[in-house]
Amino acid sequence: MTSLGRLVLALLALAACSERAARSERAVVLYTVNGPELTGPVLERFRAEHPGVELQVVSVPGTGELFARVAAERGAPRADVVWGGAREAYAAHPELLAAVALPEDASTVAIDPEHRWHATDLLLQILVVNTERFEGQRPTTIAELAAPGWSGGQVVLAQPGASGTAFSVLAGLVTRHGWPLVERLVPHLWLVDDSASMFSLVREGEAAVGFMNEDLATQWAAAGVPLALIYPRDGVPYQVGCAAVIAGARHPAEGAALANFLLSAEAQAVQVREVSRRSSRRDAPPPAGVPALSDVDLIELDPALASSGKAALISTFRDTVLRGARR
Amino acid sequence: MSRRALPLAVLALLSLFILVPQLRVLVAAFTGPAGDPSLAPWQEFFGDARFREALLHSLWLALATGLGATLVAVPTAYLLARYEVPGRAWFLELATMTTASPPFLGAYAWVLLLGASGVVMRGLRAAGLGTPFRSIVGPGGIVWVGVWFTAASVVLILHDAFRAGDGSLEEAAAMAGASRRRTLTSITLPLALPAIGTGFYLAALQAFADFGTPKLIGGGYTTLPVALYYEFLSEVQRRPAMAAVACVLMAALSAAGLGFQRWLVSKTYPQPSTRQRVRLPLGPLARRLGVGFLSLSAFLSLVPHAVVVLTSFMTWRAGVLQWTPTLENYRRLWSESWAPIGVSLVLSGIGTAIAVALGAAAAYWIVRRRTPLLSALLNNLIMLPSVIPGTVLAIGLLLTFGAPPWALAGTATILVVAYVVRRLAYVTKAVETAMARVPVAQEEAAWASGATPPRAFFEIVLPQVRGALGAGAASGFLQMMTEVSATVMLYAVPWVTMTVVIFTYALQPGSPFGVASAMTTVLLVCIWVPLRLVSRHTTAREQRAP
Repeated sequence: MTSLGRLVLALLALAACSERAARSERAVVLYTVNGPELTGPVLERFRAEHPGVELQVVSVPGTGELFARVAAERGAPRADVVWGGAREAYAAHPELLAAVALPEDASTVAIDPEHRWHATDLLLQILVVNTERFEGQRPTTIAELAAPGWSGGQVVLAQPGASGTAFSVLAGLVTRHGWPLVERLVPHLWLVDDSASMFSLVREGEAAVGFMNEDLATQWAAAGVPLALIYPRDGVPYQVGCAAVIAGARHPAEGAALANFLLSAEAQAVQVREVSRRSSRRDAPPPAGVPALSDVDLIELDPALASSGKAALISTFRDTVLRGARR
Repeated sequence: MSRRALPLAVLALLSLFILVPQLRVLVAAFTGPAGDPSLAPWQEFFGDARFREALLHSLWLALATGLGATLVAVPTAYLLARYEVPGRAWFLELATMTTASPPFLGAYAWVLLLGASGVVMRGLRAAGLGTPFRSIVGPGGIVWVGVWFTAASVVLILHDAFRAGDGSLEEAAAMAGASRRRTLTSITLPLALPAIGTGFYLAALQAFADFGTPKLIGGGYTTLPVALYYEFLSEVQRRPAMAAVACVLMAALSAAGLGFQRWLVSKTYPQPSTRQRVRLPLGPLARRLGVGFLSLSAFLSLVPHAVVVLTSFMTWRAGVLQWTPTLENYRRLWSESWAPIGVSLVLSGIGTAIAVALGAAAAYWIVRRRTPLLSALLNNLIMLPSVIPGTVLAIGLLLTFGAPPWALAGTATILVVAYVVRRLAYVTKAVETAMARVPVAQEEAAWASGATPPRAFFEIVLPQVRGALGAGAASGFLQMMTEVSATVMLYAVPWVTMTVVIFTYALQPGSPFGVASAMTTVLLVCIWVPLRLVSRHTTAREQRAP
């Protein structure tokens, strides 16, 4: 290529660059841990109803990265709204979130008195077994996995410090059964770094048993993955998934409109239908094929343990339980 | 203006973006919780079984991958360099193409084929045949992917080494009665040892610093780069000092590897080269075996590319491959995700332009050595980032420029800085060799006839190194396009690159991976086109040369 050609290309590139930078000032930015399979159809409707709002969606792999990112940008936030991840993660960062009362708050099952987080979904962490891989009698309780004679293979769990889902499982187990059960369970665990690995190892039959989010397990079972869903009789950990408007956001009004839309009956119906995720609304029916909540023994977390006690819970697990098991 | 002002300015600029961030990391690694100088982070690091394990794992992976890649590359390069093999040019071209692939591509493809429910494994079980192992997931898989990802680059390095010389040493050995095997083990391989060491080092370094592959195929096998990522980017209990210790360790171990490679290279012996080395004919059986071996290794290197292109035309449901052909992925890519394509092209384009300009100038100052101290400083500064893993580099930049007065975190600038810093060494080294061949006398003649030094540089020196500059630019560009380990730590909206999108999709279990496959396919096209142009250009050049 001639040097002139190169110069022209470089200039074109610069032009494209400034064009995008200018656009991004106007755009309302959403950080989300939800994948495009959910954000696509939900936001398509939001865009249709708010044609004047330009929306940019950034997917982040996990809640940890999500809040690390928002915290790093504190003072000059780049995002207006965060969506996805558990209430506990939101409650642990009140300084990053704006207190906004949304019209739809009242319809949800969990309401933040300060209106910093807004419930968008109920996410159960159930047990799944890969039926091609698993041999023998399927467990019906978590206690069976921790029993000394457990022979069903390693149970996949992510590091609770790195994965919000795994933290929810750990907090649930400690709340309901106490540390002794966790200590007995640890030798049977296959610990991985992130929730994506935790889920896919069971999906792909690398592991026989693991904890999995109910929505994903339901979708995968429907897509033909050989999974059996188990709602443990001795308690099912769960999270209240949330969205929030970021403190100091550049577009507070549009951000609040987006957050409110995520709680609306319309968006929630899409969520229930598209990704089989339970709605946070009292008036919404459960997704097809999953049991009613009244038939599931949910573990209610001690609120103190869930938010302020989070760091202590994780370090007890990492420093005491894991090290004890290694010894 | 003094003759030294410009090189000094460049030196200062590079120090700011290369040296200062790394010093910042070093200081953080020796800072206690109260901000005092302390060894506490090191005690905490080595007191934690998880980190000790990650360190050992990473070292093991590096050595195994280096060894595997060398074992594949030595016979491949030897065959291609020394014998008349059918399709030789074609095999070399394939090797060049496979060097340009996103690092996580292999992991994704091999899990799809050889994971516990991989296509091949299912097929074998359905056919009633046993499978040799249950799944590729685990440390073995990381090494397997690493070997085929790096082997092609090692082949290219070794090919040049085996082409060096004119074969008179080997002929002399044969005439003195040495068997072919004896000649091989006591002449050919020892002469190629520096290049073999370099290849081993590059493969090992790649595996040591790789972040995507262990995460995707390791099945929870802890490695240092992944542990580092979570120490720095997790929401609870971030321990930046731990991350800094890991950074310093990784940089130090990589530097030790480089020391070993330099030592080997210092053992290079000049080989007589009076005529072109003649390629030897192969017997019919050897010919068949040779082509078979080359085809197999080319096939294994290209499997990931084929798999990703194929799956980009398949339907995915809730992240599960359905084997129904479709164009839907490309339609969605076009309607939803075209922006990252532009961002990648623009940032890598700007990064390449800066790297080429800086690299050409630096190579000139280094080669001409008009101020020896300045040349030496510049050379070492530019080479430094080549031993610093991308994750470590990113952490240094974040620690240094993350807060006011700089506040570059999350800007396009910091990404471009990271790309330039990471790849400047490659561009500079590519140009240096060519620059050294330009006679000083030509330049001096231009000065004598009244040309200013800049004019002499642009009109005499630069035109003669255009080929090397082009090759450096192409390899720099494709490495920037596929950069993931620094990018995932540094990016922010709206500067989301293709690699970030692919990586995020790969880590979101329910996401429509077909779109990511389609994007990877587009990425491959984006890097193959410039590569093809350059390699055609250089081939044409070589053919013109006497």
